[in-house]
Amino acid sequence: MAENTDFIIKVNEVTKDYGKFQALKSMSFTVPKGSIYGLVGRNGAGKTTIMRVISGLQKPTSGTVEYGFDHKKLGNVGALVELPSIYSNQTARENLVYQYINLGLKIDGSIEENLQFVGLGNTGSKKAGKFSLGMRQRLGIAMAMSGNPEVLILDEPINGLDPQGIIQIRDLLIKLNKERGVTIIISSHILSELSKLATDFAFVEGGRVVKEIKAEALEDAGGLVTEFYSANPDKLVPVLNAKGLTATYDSSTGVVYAKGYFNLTNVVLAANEAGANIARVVPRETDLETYFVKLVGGESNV
Amino acid sequence: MFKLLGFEFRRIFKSIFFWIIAGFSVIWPVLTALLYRAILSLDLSDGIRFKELELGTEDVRYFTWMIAVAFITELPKFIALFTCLHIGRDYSDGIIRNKIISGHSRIAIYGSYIVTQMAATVCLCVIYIASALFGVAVSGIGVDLNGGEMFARFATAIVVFLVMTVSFTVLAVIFRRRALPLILCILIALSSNAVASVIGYFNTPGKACDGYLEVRNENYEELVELGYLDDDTADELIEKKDKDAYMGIGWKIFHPVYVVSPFGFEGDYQAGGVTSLISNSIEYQKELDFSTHFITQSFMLGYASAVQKDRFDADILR
Repeated sequence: MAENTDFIIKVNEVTKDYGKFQALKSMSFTVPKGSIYGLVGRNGAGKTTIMRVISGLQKPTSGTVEYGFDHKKLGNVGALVELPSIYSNQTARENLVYQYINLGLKIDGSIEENLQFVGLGNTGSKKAGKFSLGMRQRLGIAMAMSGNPEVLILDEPINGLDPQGIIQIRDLLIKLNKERGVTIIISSHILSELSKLATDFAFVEGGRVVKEIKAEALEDAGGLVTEFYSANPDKLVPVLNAKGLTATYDSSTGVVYAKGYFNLTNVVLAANEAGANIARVVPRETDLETYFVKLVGGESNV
Repeated sequence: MFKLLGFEFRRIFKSIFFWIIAGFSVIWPVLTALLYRAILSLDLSDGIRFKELELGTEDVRYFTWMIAVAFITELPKFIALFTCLHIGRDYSDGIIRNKIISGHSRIAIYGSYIVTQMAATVCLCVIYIASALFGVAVSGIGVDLNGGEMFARFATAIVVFLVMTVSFTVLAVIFRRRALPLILCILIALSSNAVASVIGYFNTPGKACDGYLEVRNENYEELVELGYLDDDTADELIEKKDKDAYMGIGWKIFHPVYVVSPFGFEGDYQAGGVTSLISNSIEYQKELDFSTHFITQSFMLGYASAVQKDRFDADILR
């Protein structure tokens, strides 16, 4: 156990075998304190397995997981792995009461506060089994965040939610991270949502982390890329570079790619003066999904 | 561990099914006592009417035991159902995952299940016994606890039941779901009754046999004194027809189990009760005496075709 470190969790060369199948192959990554750490990967890449290992549900075959806090203290790790762990025949409040007893917490007004925090303050005597998926997920998060955990591990928390539910969970997680300083490790198939949440990303492929990157760095790596179609690409490239863009000509496609933001009128006028007519301009935003596809190759299938 | 125990006890306390079983444990033994009271006092000799109940000490003791100890046959199926549904829900709703993530060890989690299920079982047994004693008292049968010795036997029966409860809990934990362990546990509960019946079949007459042999040997001595039998013949009869001869090999095999289990206790009290009930019947006694004397006379005087085997058969009737 290491405390007062700048990381909350450090995964070192973790391997997990299920018989002959190796789900994790020397996986390593570091989760910074206070971050929202997004795990991105295909189905079967090993995201859920590593989350189960980190949360203590499974033991690694080899390798270690270091915690930057006392992870053996009851309630210091909160997790929502796969499905919310809630009694379907109990109310939201009763579920939280059980969780408080489980963690040895005093049953007080903080239960109502937690319910209010996740937007379930008015569910009354309604049993959790009758909750919508979004409500169940929010209750699962409320259960996981009982006892003010240092880290919250969430596996696909917005899976199957409607757009409104996705927004609610996203806002809730941002609030948790900003207001309570909880580090969050999250995986999601909906990469556009993950990109709105996460401050750090780890790209998981074939049981390994193939890339760790900060959100800002991802933005720099991606950003706006514009495709210019012109009969005189050799004349157009210097014009674009002069306007502060990073332009390259791909002879195989006949397209000039320019990275960066620009004023279209100025660029068209300058190109015209240089004798490079622009026939067509297509802006392409490089997002998390594009980055992922470029990184691991082929269809994203995430 | 204490947090988990608090968790599980709260769940049990809040379980409707637990309170249904508790309600059954209160009502059923009282109803059974009232039913026995009605049957015992039923008089069909002149229409249907109920006579005043007069039971000897041994009968009262027997009925006290029989009605109170019935929890060992009545409750296991309910406990099996309760245990599997109760623990199975923790798996089906993912609560066990929550406990592990919270930081509890698996041993502590499983231990909390066993401890709380055992406590629930003891609680239900005590309720059942208390209600049974209340039932036999208010029904008019009466209560005889054999000077308090019966409580020790109840305790032994509860221990046997606890072994079953632990096995139900272990099965529920191993299978991690509700349906399959439920079927297995119900089968165990029902088969335990069948096993008890088999053991009881071979053993129940054991205690009665002791009493019978004692009386028979006294009769032989009397016959020797009266000159109907000589010493050698009497000794030969006693030796040839000892307890083993009457009880058979099954008794030898199951007797050790019988001695230390509630089945044995049942047999003890049952033997006493049955003997007492029969001996109270004057007609039956007369009939037996007549048969035995008739065959003895026939054998001694060489009448008809009576042989020594007929004498044994008449003895066995007694």
